[in-house]
Amino acid sequence: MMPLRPLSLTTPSRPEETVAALAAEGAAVLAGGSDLIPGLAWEIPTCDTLVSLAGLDALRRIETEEDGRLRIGAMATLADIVRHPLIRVGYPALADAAQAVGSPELRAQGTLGGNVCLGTRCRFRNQPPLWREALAPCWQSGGEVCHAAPAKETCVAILSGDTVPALVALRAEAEIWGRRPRRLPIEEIYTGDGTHHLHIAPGEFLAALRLPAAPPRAAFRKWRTRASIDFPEANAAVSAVWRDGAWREPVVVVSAVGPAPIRVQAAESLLDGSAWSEERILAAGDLARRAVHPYDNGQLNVAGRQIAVRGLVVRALGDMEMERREPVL
Amino acid sequence: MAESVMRLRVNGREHHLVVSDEATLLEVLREQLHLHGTKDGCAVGSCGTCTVWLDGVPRLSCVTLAKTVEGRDVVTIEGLAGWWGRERPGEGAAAFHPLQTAAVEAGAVQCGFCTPGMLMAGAALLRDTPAPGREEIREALSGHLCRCTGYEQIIHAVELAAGRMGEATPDEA
Repeated sequence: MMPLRPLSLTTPSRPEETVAALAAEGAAVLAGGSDLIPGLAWEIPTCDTLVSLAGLDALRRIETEEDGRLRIGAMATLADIVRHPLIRVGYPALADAAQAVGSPELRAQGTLGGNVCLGTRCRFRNQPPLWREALAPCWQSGGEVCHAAPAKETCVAILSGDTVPALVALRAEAEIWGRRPRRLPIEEIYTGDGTHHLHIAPGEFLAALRLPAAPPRAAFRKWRTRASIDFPEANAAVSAVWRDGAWREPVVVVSAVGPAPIRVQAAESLLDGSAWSEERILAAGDLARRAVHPYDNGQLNVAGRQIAVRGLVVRALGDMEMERREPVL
Repeated sequence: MAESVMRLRVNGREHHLVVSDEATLLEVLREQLHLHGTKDGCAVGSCGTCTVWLDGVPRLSCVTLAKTVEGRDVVTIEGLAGWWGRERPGEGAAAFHPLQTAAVEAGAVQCGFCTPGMLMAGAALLRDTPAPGREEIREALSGHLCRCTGYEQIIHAVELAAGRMGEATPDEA
């Protein structure tokens, strides 16, 4: 086996130490490691120091706060999310999304925070070093070209976390710890640039996700090559509140088709204020398809991924409308 | 870079090992403890053949840094029969876990490279779910690639073992 490049590992037990360690040049956050370690094996991210969050006990907890919000520590594993009773009952779309990640072994190791912050992926970049030698360096590796989208001046690698659209649909808030801790809606942590895809500065780290006390109803769908393990070729989540005989405040979010999740506002307007007929659902799916422009950097082709987006949104909306008409309780 | 001594319990034995920060659990098991049953397949978490139990939970040793599991309990394929023997006090030492025997009989082993990972995942399933359904078996093995068998024989081996283990230990509930 190819050993990893030499690095040092530190596991602080106090947040201040974590912040200080992460502020150093060449430091990177180690959460579960199920994606970072394979990345390091292929020299995709490079770093000198791994700062493990495993020493911060508070980050593993899933608990209800005083105001009723559910607070999920960033180090809760995806398996923890899938089996947690409060999440299964109150936020099932998040449990579905977590269940859709990887294999049982990967879910036992991978964390929610790691999935939210997951490094972006690209067919031309996520390859062994020898394979990559055949290509000129790209934006991510210090070059000035994108092999997937030569006309683009930035990296278009794919945000591949499955929990991201579910968390956006559930109106989750990210809690970032650093010298100045802050909270922001989860979609605001993504920059839209595949190389530096997170608004999380050196010396900062994602500590928790907070979900509203009275969440909207939501549904999640994913499309991938093999149902057993693969990263998404596209994924989607929808949410809305059923009030006075109509769906209100709908959210339609599509992800894994670019470096950031995409809100489909045209579909949201169409879906607001009525029950969802088949025609309306299909029309919303068409709007979602037209709102995304994937590049040829996934495993499957662009047209297929775009058509899949339509199907994912249609099915997710259908899941919610069917559940409303015939509750499965 | 940094090397230091760490404790690790492997197959019921306590070890003190000099380990570098970047060493994976797989490297430590294979190259320091010479437990070559755990296989080095893709080395990036995609194939499942490096699966071991970490505190009883199937985990991929290739994507786990050894230092992050300091002091914890690891069971590899070499220790599976021993674990099974300890699980059944009074029955005496076991040469094989029932799933190992079933895998041989069901033709679930061809080239054998995926077998250690398959068996560690399958045995954990049988421990937690004594009479698993076909879907549960498929789900438990879903992170494991086999390029020989087409999976059918492996699923059958788990079913065969589940049947025998059910007979051997009458349901107490």
